[in-house]
Amino acid sequence: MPKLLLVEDNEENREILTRRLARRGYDVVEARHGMEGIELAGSARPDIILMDMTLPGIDGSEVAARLKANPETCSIPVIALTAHASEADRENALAAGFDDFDTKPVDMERLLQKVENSLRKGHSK
Amino acid sequence: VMEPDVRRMLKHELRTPVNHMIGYVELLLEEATDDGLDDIAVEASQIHADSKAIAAEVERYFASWTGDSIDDACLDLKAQIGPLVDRVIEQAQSSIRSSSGTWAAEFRHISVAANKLSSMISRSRPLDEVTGGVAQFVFAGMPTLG
Repeated sequence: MPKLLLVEDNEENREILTRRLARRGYDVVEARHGMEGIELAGSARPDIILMDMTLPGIDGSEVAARLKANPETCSIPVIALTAHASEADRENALAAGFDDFDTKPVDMERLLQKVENSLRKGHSK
Repeated sequence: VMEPDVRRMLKHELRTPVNHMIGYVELLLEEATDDGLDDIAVEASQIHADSKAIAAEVERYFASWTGDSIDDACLDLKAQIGPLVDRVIEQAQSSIRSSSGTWAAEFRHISVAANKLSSMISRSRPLDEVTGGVAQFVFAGMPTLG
């Protein structure tokens, strides 16, 4: 069962995604803000991270940059989730170090495809 | 080019409860379908269709919004999506009454989100009181509105 770290400050979004991902066979670990996400990425050793870009404190881009700068977490694929869906948002996310990008409201099939693609790429590295 | 901040943040604030409505009802649909509860799935399908229509209308509105007035935006949106939001609330309330236990709780999540959206577009409470946080920036940046 793949372990997925979900970093999302909004309680409802976190509950919805956790339950939907758990139904699809993922072991979901939750973080409510960026610092908790960084801590859990190191301690829980997730296979993949889904992260909201707009977080209180340090935002998603900064969290992604820190994860990619840390040898212990740099190989974990990180997918950005955001309600902002412009091409500029996508480019900013990829420039910040995210491996992929998806928008809210979540299209579950599309998101799962991206998660599985990222997991495959991670394993083939 | 990034969207102007006010449009970006106001749209984000309004989309948040819409996304909750869509997320909870899709979760409910998955669970009801898996459990073979066709009556629940039918009720949820109507809410899903209305919630998606609301999301599309919000996107369409902000694509051409000039950013002149948050109050006007809320008034316009109330005229455009208000009946759909009311219908979601009515359907969710009806389903809460006719369901039991977990299912009623699931429909309650949808009702809460739809009521939050209704409060926003009705401006029955200031947007920043409804949403907390981000909208305060919107109002701080537009002191002549309100």
